[in-house]
Amino acid sequence: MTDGRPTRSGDFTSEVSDESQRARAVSDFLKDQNERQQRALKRKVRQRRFKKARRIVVGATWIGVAYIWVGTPGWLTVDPPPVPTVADESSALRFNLYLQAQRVEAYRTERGRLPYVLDEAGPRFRGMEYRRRDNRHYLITGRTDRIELQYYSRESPLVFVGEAASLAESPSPGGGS
Amino acid sequence: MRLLSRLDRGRPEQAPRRVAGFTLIETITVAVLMGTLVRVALPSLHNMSLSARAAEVVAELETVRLAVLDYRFEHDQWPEDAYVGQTPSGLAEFLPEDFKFGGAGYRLDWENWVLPSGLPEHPETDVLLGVSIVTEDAELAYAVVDFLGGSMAHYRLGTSYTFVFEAM
Repeated sequence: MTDGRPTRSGDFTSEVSDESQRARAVSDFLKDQNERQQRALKRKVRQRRFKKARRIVVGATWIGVAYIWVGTPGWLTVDPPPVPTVADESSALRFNLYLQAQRVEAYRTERGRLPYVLDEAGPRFRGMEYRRRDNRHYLITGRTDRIELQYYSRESPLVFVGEAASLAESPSPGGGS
Repeated sequence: MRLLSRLDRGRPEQAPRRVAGFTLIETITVAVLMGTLVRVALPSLHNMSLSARAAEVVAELETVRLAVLDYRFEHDQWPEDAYVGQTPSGLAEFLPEDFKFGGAGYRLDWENWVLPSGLPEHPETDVLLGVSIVTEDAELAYAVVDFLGGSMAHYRLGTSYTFVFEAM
């Protein structure tokens, strides 16, 4: 306490002798108290801000968690593959029937007769049923879970396949499939 | 009793015993946050795994296409159509040593369709060449379609996804 700056309120009375020193000590003491109060106030303000920020962060986190679990956002779900429409399926089945009939026709051109069973003409599509009507005509039936189509050899294969033949065409650049 | 309580009040208070560890709330919070992180990461992992498998299938399709072109160059004809999962006759020597027409969850099917009648818009077309992927895994098939769909004709019927290499 040689510099006259008291640290505790009870110390300075015994150490300060004259009036000016006393006044100085009191002033220092008050200044010190003031500084302490200011620091305490600042600390309180900081703590209040931190508490507020913490509340906001915790709240936002829980809102985010609830959104992810309850809201099931689109970017978190894996889309199931699209189910083809009946029209798409019909088109694909028609095209396969056409390819199958063409295989039978190629066999007839090569051998001069119709095959007795479809496998005679080569590998065949699954779900195709071949029926030889006579020496010149045949019927091919194609089935899926949803549709059934028939090709009868009296019909022109090109007319039968129609628009479905576009399935063999490459998509235009920049366009869809 | 009153005296005892007064005496008791005079004694210094015992500090509450603290046990090091996490509270139930803290544990639940951490578990929920970890679960949420896993939930966020899973779709990405799934997509990455699917893309990797699709890339593998696309690479196999490309291998078949190149082997077929080599076969054509050597024999002046296209390999004959084969059954699902079977290597077309004579094509094996143009393929890598342990190449198989299929993998985990899918099989490949070489398609060589002769068209005596041609196609309605292209009567000159008399051959269609392609490869079908036969799989129950529609996700894998559509991932392959995403890879190739923009550049190659393709269509689906049931579990068969056919990609047309050439129409000539």
